[in-house]
Amino acid sequence: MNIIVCVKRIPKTAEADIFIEKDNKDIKKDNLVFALNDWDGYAVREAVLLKEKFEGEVIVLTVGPDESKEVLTRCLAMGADRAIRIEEPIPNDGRLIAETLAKVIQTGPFDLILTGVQAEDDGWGQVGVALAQILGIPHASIVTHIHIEGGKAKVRRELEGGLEELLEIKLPAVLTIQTGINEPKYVSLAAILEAEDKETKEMTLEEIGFSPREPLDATIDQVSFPPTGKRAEILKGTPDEVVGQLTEIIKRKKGS
Amino acid sequence: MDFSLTSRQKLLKEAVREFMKGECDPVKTLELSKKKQFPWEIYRKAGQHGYLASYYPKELGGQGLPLLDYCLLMEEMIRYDHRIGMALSLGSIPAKTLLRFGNDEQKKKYLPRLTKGEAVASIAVTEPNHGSDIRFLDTRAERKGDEYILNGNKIFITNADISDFYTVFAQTNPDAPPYRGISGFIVEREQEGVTAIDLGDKIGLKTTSSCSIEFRDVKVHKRNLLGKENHGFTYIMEALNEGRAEIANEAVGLARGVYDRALFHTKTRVQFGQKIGKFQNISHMIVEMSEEIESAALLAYKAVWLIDQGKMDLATCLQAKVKCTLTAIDVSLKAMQIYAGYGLFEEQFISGYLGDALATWLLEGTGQIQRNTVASQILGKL
Repeated sequence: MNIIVCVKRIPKTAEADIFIEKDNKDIKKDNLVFALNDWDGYAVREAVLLKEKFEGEVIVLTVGPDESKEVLTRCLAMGADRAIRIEEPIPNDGRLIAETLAKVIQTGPFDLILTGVQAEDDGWGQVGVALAQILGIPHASIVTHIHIEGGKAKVRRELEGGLEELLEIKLPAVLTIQTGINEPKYVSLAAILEAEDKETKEMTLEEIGFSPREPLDATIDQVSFPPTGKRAEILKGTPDEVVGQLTEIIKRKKGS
Repeated sequence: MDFSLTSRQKLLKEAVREFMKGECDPVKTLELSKKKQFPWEIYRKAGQHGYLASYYPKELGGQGLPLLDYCLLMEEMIRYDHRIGMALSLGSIPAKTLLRFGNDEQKKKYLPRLTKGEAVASIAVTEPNHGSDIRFLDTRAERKGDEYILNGNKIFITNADISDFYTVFAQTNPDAPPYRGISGFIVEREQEGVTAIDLGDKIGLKTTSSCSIEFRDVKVHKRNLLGKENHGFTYIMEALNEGRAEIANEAVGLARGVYDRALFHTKTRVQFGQKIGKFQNISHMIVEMSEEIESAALLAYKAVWLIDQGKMDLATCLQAKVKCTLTAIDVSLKAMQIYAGYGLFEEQFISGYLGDALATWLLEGTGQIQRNTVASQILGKL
């Protein structure tokens, strides 16, 4: 089973102080730490687990500058077999990323494509779905479980309100992977050293025969912090009284 | 001059940080520290993932990493949780004399268990009457046929009550001039006549014990002699200098760890209606801590980088150790001021970092003695 996993290098913003660039189009990234998108990490791990069961090859694919090699090496250390990087600044347009990825994907055989549900930095959640559309193959999003059987995948999807949906989907297909689908595994030091010897192919847009159309479907007008909302409510009283008040609030919010 | 980390170094740091994040529950590590227990479970797991003594060559179970890469990894561990990180790094540092001067048979027998996280080692040099002054030792090793008979007492020996083996240094020639009559031996803890006793509660290094060891008529076969007879002092110095460069990096990890916590507190604690970081004295303390750490780290990295280049420089190793341990102490003291009352409680980690920082000043020779050596290098014969 040949699996392609599309990954992205993102700035970690969850615990960092965020500042906005002067032109209000992006955040300042100079002092941020970059890493593999969390959702993509689960997708790579899932691909490696499937490979352990069904054999084949796991290829990781990214669009991004030279620095993106680091996340590819990380994916190789997690068990991917080889990597491809398309040398291009990451465009602010999900469909354009999907079109670029599709150009490379179409050149070889594959059974399954995995992406993260979304990227931590832009949160669009578009690339996987757009990729399926461009390739003309089925897809399922927010996948929390995969079971492969006879050219089909039975997948569980996460829905709101604690619901799950079970789908049977014909392969090849694109699945966008939700965090928690598997148990992450630490990357061993030996695996990092071995990853350095695995193949990472680098290609330009010209080499893959792709010229992006202009103008893009989407452009970012402005990035800003949300306006400050109502201040938090501070509960007063003894610990027992506070617990009582808190329980009442939770009950109210839950609507029971 | 390229100061940037390599892609591999960044990945190693990221991987080890994830490991620490996954394994180190502050409540559990505090409990280990209170009970003075070595973190065996995490140590074994770290060994399985190749994080322990990863600069050892592959045939000894290591990963053949440059010492600098290993030190960056260790720094990251200690930065995340000193209680665990210090224990993990102190499991193998004491075996350096064996790594550098043991023969193949000795190394293959004893060292792979350290990299796998199955065992820890101790080095036994210090004695009740010989701390900084180890020109002569009171522990005697007397040759009888194919064996040496070991008698004497050692003190402040890290992990001696749980180690698999010790590298013990003893006087083999009582009549030799200073430094010339000492030899090194590999002695197993379970050997008859060996008694190791934990010395009690310390203010730092709480997840590793500090012990006294009594050797009473312990028979050591000559195949367990380290290198050549009476060359022990040179071995100690060579290995210790490398160890000191490592300790400098440990201290950088301590300083960074306590700084991270102080910075967080500065940005979240509110007094007089504002974040305490808005008070100039607090913000300047944070900046001073950062200045100290960045300059100390450069010296620590240089010391191990020189070792990797095969150009170990004694003065750089010693100065790195002095500078970095002083930095760790100073940064911890500033963090204590920033945390104020909260800093006194072990739950906040700060006092623990301070305790370990004070211990690094003493490990493998006090800073004062190291300054003596550097002084003689800089000033020459006056």
